Order: sequence, then C-alpha cells, then structure tokens
Amino acid sequence: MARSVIDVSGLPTYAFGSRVTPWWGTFSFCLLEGTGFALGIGGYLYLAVTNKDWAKDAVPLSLLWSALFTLVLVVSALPNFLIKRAATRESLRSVRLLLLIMSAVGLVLIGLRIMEFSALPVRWSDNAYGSFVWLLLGLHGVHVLTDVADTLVLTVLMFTRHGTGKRFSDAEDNAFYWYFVVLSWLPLYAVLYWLPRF
Amino acid sequence: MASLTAAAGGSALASGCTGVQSALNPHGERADALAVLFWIFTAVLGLVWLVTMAGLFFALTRRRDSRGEPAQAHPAVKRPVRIAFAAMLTSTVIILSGLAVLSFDGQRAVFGDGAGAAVTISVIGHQWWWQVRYEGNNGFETANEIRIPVGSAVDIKLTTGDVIHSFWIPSLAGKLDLIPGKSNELRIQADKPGVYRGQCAEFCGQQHAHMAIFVVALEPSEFERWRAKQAAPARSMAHLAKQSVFASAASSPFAALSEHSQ
Amino acid sequence: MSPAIEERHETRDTDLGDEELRARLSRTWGSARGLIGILSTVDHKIIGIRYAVTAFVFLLAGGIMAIIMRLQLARPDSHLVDAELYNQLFTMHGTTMMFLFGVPVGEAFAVYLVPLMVGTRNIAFPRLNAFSYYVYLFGGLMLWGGFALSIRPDVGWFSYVPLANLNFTPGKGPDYWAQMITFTEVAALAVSVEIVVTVLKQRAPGMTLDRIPLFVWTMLVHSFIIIFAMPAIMLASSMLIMERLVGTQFFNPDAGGDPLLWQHLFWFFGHPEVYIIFLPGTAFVSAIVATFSRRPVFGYLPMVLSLIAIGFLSFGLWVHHMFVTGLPEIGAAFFTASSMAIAIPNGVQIFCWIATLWDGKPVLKTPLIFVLGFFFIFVAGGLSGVMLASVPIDTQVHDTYFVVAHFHYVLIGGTVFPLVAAVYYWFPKVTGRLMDERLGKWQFVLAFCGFNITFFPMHLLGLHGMPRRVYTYPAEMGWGGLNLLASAGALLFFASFLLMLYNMIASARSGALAGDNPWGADTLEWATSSPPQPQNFDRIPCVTSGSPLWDQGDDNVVVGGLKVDERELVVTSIREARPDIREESPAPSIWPFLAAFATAVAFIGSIYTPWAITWGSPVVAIVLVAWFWPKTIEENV
Ligand code: HEM
Ligand SMILES: [Cu+2]
Ligand SMILES: [Cu+2]
Repeated sequence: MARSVIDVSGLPTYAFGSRVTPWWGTFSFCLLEGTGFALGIGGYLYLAVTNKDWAKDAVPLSLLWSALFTLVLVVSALPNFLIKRAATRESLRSVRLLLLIMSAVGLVLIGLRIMEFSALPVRWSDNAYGSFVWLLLGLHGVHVLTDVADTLVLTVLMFTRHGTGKRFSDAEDNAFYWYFVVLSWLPLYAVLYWLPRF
Repeated sequence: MASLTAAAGGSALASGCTGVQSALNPHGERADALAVLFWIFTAVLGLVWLVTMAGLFFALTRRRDSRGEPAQAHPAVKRPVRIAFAAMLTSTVIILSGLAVLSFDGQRAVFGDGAGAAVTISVIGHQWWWQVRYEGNNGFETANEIRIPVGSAVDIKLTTGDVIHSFWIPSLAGKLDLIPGKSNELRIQADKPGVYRGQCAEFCGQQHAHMAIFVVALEPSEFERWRAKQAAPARSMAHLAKQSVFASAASSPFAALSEHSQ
Repeated sequence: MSPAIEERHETRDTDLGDEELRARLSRTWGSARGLIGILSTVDHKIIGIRYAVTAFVFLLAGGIMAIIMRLQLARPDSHLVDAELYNQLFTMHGTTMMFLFGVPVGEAFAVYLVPLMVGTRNIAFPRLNAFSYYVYLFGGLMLWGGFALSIRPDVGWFSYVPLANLNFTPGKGPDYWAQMITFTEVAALAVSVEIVVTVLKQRAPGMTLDRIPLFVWTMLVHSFIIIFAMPAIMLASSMLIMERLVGTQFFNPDAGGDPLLWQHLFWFFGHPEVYIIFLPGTAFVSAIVATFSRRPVFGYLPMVLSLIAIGFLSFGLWVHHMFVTGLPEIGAAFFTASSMAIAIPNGVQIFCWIATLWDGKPVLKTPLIFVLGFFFIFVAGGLSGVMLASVPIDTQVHDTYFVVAHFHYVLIGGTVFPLVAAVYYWFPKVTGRLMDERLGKWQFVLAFCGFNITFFPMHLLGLHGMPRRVYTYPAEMGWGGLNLLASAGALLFFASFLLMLYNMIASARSGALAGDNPWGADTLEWATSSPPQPQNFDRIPCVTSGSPLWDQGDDNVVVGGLKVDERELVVTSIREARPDIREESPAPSIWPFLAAFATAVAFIGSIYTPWAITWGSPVVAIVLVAWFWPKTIEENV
C-alpha cells in the first residue's frame, strides 16, 4: 500500500475569525436568532396592517430609557471593536481592561432595560400590541443578558491562569456576538419606538 | 314531492352509496367546475406518474445484473440521457404552467364576483352546531339546516361564535373557514331539488365529527312558501334552539322536506 | 511539567505503527464506562445511535396510536374509543411522528454519518450534540409521561387557536405540547448548527466543495432549512404558552390579535418542516442509488442546485395550508404558482436517480428495493400535492382524508421507505453485521402492500366527503367499506415494522459479518472498520475524488502529524478544504446532561408557574458555566 503523508504537525492549534469552528457556530446562532427577531417583527407588522384598531391600541412608548439604552449600546461597539483587536493581538492587559469595561457597560444596559420595562405604558395582557412590545423587548433582553453573563465569565477567566491561548479566540468570538446584539436592536428600536409615531 | 323525498332519502340512506356528501357528485355550478378541474388534474398527473414508472421500469430492466459490475467512478454522460433530461425539464415546466393556468381559471369558481345573490344567509358556527339566520326585516333562524331555492345564487356569510370551523357542502361548493374576528362569504347554488349533506371540516373540539349540516334545495315557489311561514311573527324562536343542538341530524331534514311535500 | 508528560503529549501519529496507533487513539477518543461515563459521552456515533433508537421507539409508539385509530374507524358508529380519546390519539400520533420521529430520525443519521463521510473524528461541538440528545429525550418523555398521567393534548399537531386557548381547552395538555415543541426544536437547531460547521470546516483535506458526497450536501441544506424554519415554531409555541399562562393577546381578535397569525407562524415553519423530514430521505436515496448502480448519481451539479432550490422554495409555500381561510384572490394565485414550482427541482432529482439506474446495472438488494418503493409511492404523493396546490381543488379536498392520504404518501413514501432502506444499508457499518436479505424482501412485500392498501383508499374517502379528524361516521355515509380496507392494510403495514425489528435484533446477534465495505460503496464511512473505532479513522484520509473509494484505490494519501494522546482534529478551509488548524475537540463531560436536566425541570416547572423560569435560569446558567469552564490548563493551548 503506497501511502504519502500531508504533514499538519506545524499547524496552529487555534486561530481567529472565520478560520475557527466556534466562529461558524456563533454565526449560525446569529442566523437563527436573527430569523427569530425578523419573524417577531413580521408578526407585529402583520397585526399592524391587518388590524383596524391597531392605531388605537398602539400608544407610543416613552423615548427616555430606550434612547439611553440605544446610545450606550451603540457606543459599546467601540470597546467591543477594541476587544476584538486586542484579542487577536493576544494582549492580555488590554483584553482584561476592556472586558471589565464591557462587563460594566452590560450591567448598565441591563439596568436601563429594567427601567424601560417598569415605565412601559401597556401591559402584555392589555392587547396584542402590548403583548408584542413585551415579547420583542423581552426577546432582545434575553440576548443582552446572555451575552453579558458570557462576558462576565470570560472576564473572570481572563484573570485566572486560564487567560492564555485559545481564550483570546473566545474573547474575540464573544465580541462578535455582541455586534449581533447591537445590530439586532436597531430594527427593533425603529419598529417599537418610532413606527407608532407616524 | 313525495317522489323527491324518496329519491333524495332513498339514494342517501337505503342504497348506502357515497353520493350524499361527495365532491365527485356535484349538483351546483361551482362544484361542477371543481369536479371537472379535479378530473383534468387527475388525468394529466396520472399520466405523468405512469410515464415516470415506465421510465423506472425500463431503467431497471435494461441491463440487470445480480452480481454487480465493478464500480465506475466517472461514467461518460450519454447522449440519450441528456436529451431525456432536456425533455423532462421542458415538459415539466409546460405541464405545470398549463395546470397553473387551469387552476387560475378555476379560481372563478371560488372567488365569484359577488353580484346578484337571490338570498343572503348568515351562518354562525358553534361547538358543535350551525346557527342559520335568514337576514332581512322578517328574519328568522334555523339550526343545522339551510333551505335554499333551486337555481338561484345564495350567499352565505360565515362567522363563528367560538373556535374555527369550516363550512363544506361538497356537492355544491368547496369549503370555507369560519374564523373569529373575520367574516367570510361563500356562494352556493343548487341545480336540482334535493338534500345535500355537509360537515364541519376544521377540527373544532370534541364533537367535531358530529357537526353536520343539511342544505335542502326546494323549488322556488315552495321555498317562498316555507320562508313566509317561518317569518310569521307567531312562530317562536325557542323551539328552534332546542331542535338544533344534538337533534339527530340525519333524519330531520328529510322529515322537513317531506312535511312540505305533503 | 515533567519531561515524561511533555513526551507523551508530543507523540504524533507519524511516530507509530498502525496497530499501536489504533490502540492509542481509541483510548484517547473512547468513552468511559459506568453510568457517569455513559451520560458523559460525546462520541457522535454513540449519540447518533441513541437518537436513532429513541426515534424508532417513538415511531412504534406513534404507530400503535395509528393502529388504535384505524381499529376505531374500521366500522361506522364504532365505540371502541370515544371522541375524547380519539382526539388525543391523533394529536399524539401526529405530534410524535412529526416532532419525535420525523425530525430526530434525520438528525440521527446526520449525526452518525456526516462526520464519517467528511472524514473527521467527531462532530463539531460534540458536547452541544450530547446536550441536544438529552433535550430531545426529555421533551419526548415529558409528552408521553404526561400522556400516561392523563395530561393529554387533543387539539391536533398544529394546535390551532382559539381552540388551543385556555377557555376552549383547559387542562395542561397543550402546555405540555408547546413545551415539548420547544424542547425538540432546541435539539434540532443545535444539531443543525453542528452539521453546518462540521460540513463547512471539518472536511478531510482535499474534499473540495464539488467532492462533497450528495448525502452530505443534502444534510447541509436540511440543516439550513432548520435554522431558518424552526425559530418560527419556537416563537409560535412560546406565544401560545404565554397566551395560556400569562394572558397575552397575540391571537385574540377582540384585543387586537388575530388567530390567523398563529397559522402563518406555524406554517412558515410547518411547510419547510415537510422538507426537513423529507430531505434526509433523499440523502439516503442518493447514497443507495449510487452504490447499487455502481456509479455516482447522474448530474451532481443539477442535484446540488435542486437541493438548494428546494431549500429556498420551501419558504415560499406556507400559505397553501391556508387556502380556505378566505385569502385575497391574488395571494392565493401566488402561492399556487410557488407550490407548483417546487415540483421542478423535485422532478430533476427523480430524473437523475432514474437516469443513474438506467446507466448502471442495478443490484436489487433490499436497500435498493425499498428505494424503488420510494419512487412508486413518493411520486404519487408528490403529484397529489400538485393537486392540492391548486386553490379550487384544495377547497374540496382540504382537511379531508384526501389530504391524509397525500401526506402519508409523501411522508412515508418519501421518508420511511428510504429510512428502511438506510437501515438495511448502514446497519452493517454500525453493527458489523449484515441484515437478513430474505426477511428484508418479505418486509418489503408487507410494507408495500400494507401501505398502499391503507392509504390509497383514503384518497377516495376524502373525495367522497370524509373529513379528517373525525372519530366516527354514520353508516349511511357509505364510507364503511373503504375504511375497513384501510384498517386491514394498516395492520399489514405495522407488521412489516415488527418484522424489521426482529430482523435487526436477530442480525445484530448472528448476522453475516460485514467487513469494512460490504456493498462496495464509494464514500468515506466505508473506509473505516465496521463498527468504526471511537476515533473514526486511524489516519485522516486526504480526498482527491468525489468517489474516493472507487477512484483512489489502495493508493491513499493521509494526514500525518496529529497528536495521539489528545483529541485533535483537522480544521480545513471552506472551499478548498486545505488543512488550516489542529483544533482540540472537547472531551466527554457530564455537564451537558445536567444542563439538559436543569432546562427540562425549569421548563416543566414553567407550565405550573412562570416563576420557574426566574428560578431556573440561574441554575441553568451555573451549569452552563461549569460546562464551558476549562478543566485543565491544556485546554487553553
Ligand atoms: C402505521 C402507519 C400509519 C398509519 C396507519 C397512520 C394513520 C393515520 C391516521 C388514521 C391518522 C388520523 C387521521 C384523522 O383522524 O384525521 C393519521 C394522522 C397523521 N399521521 Fe399517520 N399513520 C401512520 C404513519 C405515519 C407516519 C410515519 C407519519 C409521519 C412521518 C404520520 C404522520 C401523520 C400526521 C402528521 C397526521 C396528522 C395528525 C393530525 O391531524 O393532527 N403518520 N395517521
Ligand atoms: Cu366545527
Ligand atoms: Cu369541526
């Protein structure tokens, strides 16, 4: 039996971006969760179009907390970008610092979302409009919560002896997911907060 | 009229034939059109199936070999196969387009223009009976039974009092759902006097199987007589509600029909 | 680190002879014994078998429900079961067949075979894979446990509102139903992500896009359909359970909602679902037709393009389930056209398979015979589907036994016949022993006759006005004869599965030994031992052809330089499959099981109090952290 060999012993054991499997895993989850958001918005719009009484039910939501939330969320894309960069360069100090910042930002965002819920002018059980507002805000809230939890765990990891090698790839992956959390919010924000005003 | 009763009742009950509630036994303009469309589709698609099976049979018998030949990783693509592929693709597209056009044309039997109904009737679905309301200032109600004049278009307004039901009288027209918060309209027309059975076609809970309805098509004069009698103010509504719910649906309309033919 | 350990970690496969390499690798990749070991395994083959066995048990359970229904319907005005029980039976039958058998059985084969066919050592995210199995198992146990405890959903497999709302269906049945849906969809989504990543990133070096086996392409498209379809049903089932438990108003027309919103969401998932169930069937057919015609399937490119077209089109058809809800005319016409259009790629596939058989000298072994049954039945079902796509025709046959006949023709013809073929075909790979051919042929006779006797008459019943989901019918309707015939056929059909069960058990014990490649097939799963070692391949093959085992012969190229004492696999580039990284594959862990358990408890609790989610979430979170927390310093490198 003739056998020739392709030598892979010199290949790295981890890498960044779309070269590694976790990136594709995260990407797939973004796809399916994005579909969930799109369908949620679709359902909202379906009722808005088919229902004669929608305009009456759709009391505009207050803009205060959501504006703060959106602002902080969008600005957080910057440290998030820096994390990605620092992780790729495997700079432990910057990654630690930035993760601390992102954890703090995440907690602030959760606080803002809680304020938002407590200030909503409709309850989920008032009408279908209210149900959708709660559903969509909740759905996105769960995403914020998951990624913040993930960030916190990663931050702790980075301060232990595990903060080397492949962990940088994980940090990069986590930052990638955060972009999804930011991006998926923008259409939700437009639909929930601005559409009823027109 | 006695003969009519005998005919309707006889064919339905005695002989046990499958015509009482059959889409293939149409007695109205719409159901006719649907049955014709159905048979065209069946013929064309049946032929497609036969051709496919013939191809399969031919493929199997052409060069059978129970021992198996050595595998060929790169067999040459042969000319007949290419031609067959092109033919298959073209004919599929043509057949499907043809059927689609026929189907669009047949949609007229479903989405009528809605003009000129002789009678308009509201049907309200309930778990598990049909409330039938003849509109107008002399309006009145019946249950599980609709009487219509032969030969005229009748519009049926479909709404529901609880869950989704589906109104279906196969011999007269296709079905249409009764959906909360929505009102649908279905047109039926019967060509011949008779009793046409129908049945709720959307699962609506425990006794869905027993949610039958009868359309009794009467000669116009007889229909008018019946209608006038129903509308008479002396007639109380109470007995109708009683009559309805689990009245043995099978017997009542035949009884009703014969009552008028006496 | 002592030099000895250093040394051990550095052993590469190139340093060892075949025998020793095999032994060392199988120690590295093996699963531990004992209860904890069993629950911790992340071997895709073991999990694939568990998926398959579980799905098969649910098939039998769903089949028994069907038999009881058929006994009830055999005679008019029968009182074998009452309305209440009948409604529970068809709900359990449909739900079990679609969610607990149809989808998972496809996952089972994907999980077992895709890593072998692409030449890798384990599926991507193997712990997620273990988790998905337990979630599926708990979902199924929950539904059937509830059934045993008389908590029984009875509003059909698509639970239309408002019937499924609290005021019309009190009790917990629909809640169990909705949570089971969420469970099984989580499982299916997880597996899809794993399959997508395995196919994109873990293919053996040299397996460029145009050398991917059709089976694998099919599973890839199948996974993408799941990724885009299942979120709809998860959203819908969550909305339903919220409607029932906390009083949301999504579907209430008196409060701005709409019952049709449920139908749109459900069928946006529900139609692709049919293709989710059907595509694995086509994957089996592609593999089997190629092997027994002794040549690759004719028209690789048209086949792949058809698959992708089916994937896209399957999302444009859902409204054909709603033709009688009173749609606007133009909408109805659009969905007629799109529903007919999907017949084109299906036709292309059928053509390519038949052309392959025509070109070759087909060997009529049991797998191929069941595939022939597939052609006979599935094509008929597909053509009756074209009839249903026509709005006018559909207004007559919708929700009648004609539709029941149609979807059993496509589901059983399109999935179950190829599935049986696949069982006969891959059984020798999984167990090392061949199944009995003679019994296989008898099984085919029983199944084929039984199936057609059961379901063909149902077309006629539907046309003669018999609606679906009726627990009985009056004698004067004249439906008795055909129903009796159908019921008799059902018994034959069911018996065919018992025969298969017997054949499987007997052959697993004493069937003829199979060897690595009993059918002389061309894909990589046949390049390894039967059953495969835990590491799948001792040396990762390099692929230079679309039919590696036919083209490459003994003259093989392999990958060298992987560590022997760690779970390393080769990650390759997407298009050309060039080796890029030696990635560590996660080791066995008990945490996926515990995470699935915690999730199940929280979900079941949530049926009784929404607070269960609040209290359950932190527990689930803690378990997940434990799952992902690196256990050794080596996991970091
Ligand atoms: C032993 C073989 C089978 C028999 C005898 C059988 C028979 C039946 C019967 C009698 C019904 C109920 C009809 C009604 O009352 O409306 C039904 C419904 C159904 N069956 Fe089967 N079936 C079999 C296998 C399968 C398989 C393998 C699948 C799927 C892969 C399947 C999927 C369904 C579905 C989805 C429904 C609809 C349930 C509902 O209306 O909610 N069946 N079947
Ligand atoms: Cu009903
Ligand atoms: Cu009903």
